[in-house]
Amino acid sequence: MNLAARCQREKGVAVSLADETNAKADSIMSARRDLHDRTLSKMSVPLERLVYLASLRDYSCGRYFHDGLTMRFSEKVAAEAMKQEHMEVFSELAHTSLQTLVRQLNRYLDSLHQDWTESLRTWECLEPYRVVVPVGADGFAVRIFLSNIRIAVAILVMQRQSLPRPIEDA
Amino acid sequence: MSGIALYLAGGLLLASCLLRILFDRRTEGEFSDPLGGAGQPSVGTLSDTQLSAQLFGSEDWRYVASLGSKAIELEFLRMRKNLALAWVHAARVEAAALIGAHRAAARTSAHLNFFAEVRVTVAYASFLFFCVLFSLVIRIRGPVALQSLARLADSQSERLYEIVGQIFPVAENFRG
Repeated sequence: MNLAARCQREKGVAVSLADETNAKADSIMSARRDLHDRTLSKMSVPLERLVYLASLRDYSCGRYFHDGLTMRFSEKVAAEAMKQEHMEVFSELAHTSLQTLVRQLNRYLDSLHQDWTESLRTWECLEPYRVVVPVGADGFAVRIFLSNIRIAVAILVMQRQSLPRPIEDA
Repeated sequence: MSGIALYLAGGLLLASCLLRILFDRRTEGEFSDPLGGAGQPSVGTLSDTQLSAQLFGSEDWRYVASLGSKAIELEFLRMRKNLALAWVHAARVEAAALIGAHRAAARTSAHLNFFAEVRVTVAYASFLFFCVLFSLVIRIRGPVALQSLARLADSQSERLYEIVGQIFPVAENFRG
């Protein structure tokens, strides 16, 4: 094969690779939009979105699974979309002020429709917020986030203790 | 008499700086977090100005102070102090990695410029000295409302990257 023909062929391979990458990026974007429109947009509190996205991840292998999304897109594209969405929500929360985080945690515990105090105690003792961090997140952002959440839990506990106790406790 | 006092003050400052460096190394374990290792790369930490503004700003502190709980205030300050010290440590690690790469490139280079190398050494030494002073200030008065010092550390680090980048292109491989 002469040089011109080889160059032409290599250029063709490069173009098709670039097309493939663009197509994959487009499908990931579509999958993210789908995930957002169908599920995440219904969660008004970003902290709720973070907990939900972390729950889609297998703790042992770190991969994301979502049947509906996998059916509409490929498994790889769906997993990548969830990963990116998880990272974005986490980054948003890591940059959130402490006051906003306290408000969000309060609303999130409310949205669970369970005993608020019990849920708060669980967050205080088991520290479930440690597992909601996406893999590959910046180490410093993780530290700030964990520190802020810990303080937010302590603030809610303190505010709860300062409220008058219900009559049944007396 | 005043000369002796000046020497004594200088000696004390130097000794305290050395102690701080040693103390910093000993307390690195304090910052270890089970998840801290997950996002191990500290490179690029300085470039996230939003995070450093949050860390060294006073917005969160004003909120905590408004709650009127001494226990929460102390816990908040303890955590933020550790984070701030970790930030300075990360900046030092980042600079050390850059200088390591620069040294490796310089070792194989046939066209070493003595004065350029002196400039790098001076910039690196002044950056390290600034980091030690910054750590000292954080330890003494806490990290609240120290944005200007954080910005200064950032600009010193930028300067170091610029100087190194002018000699060898190793700086391009660093910073997020």
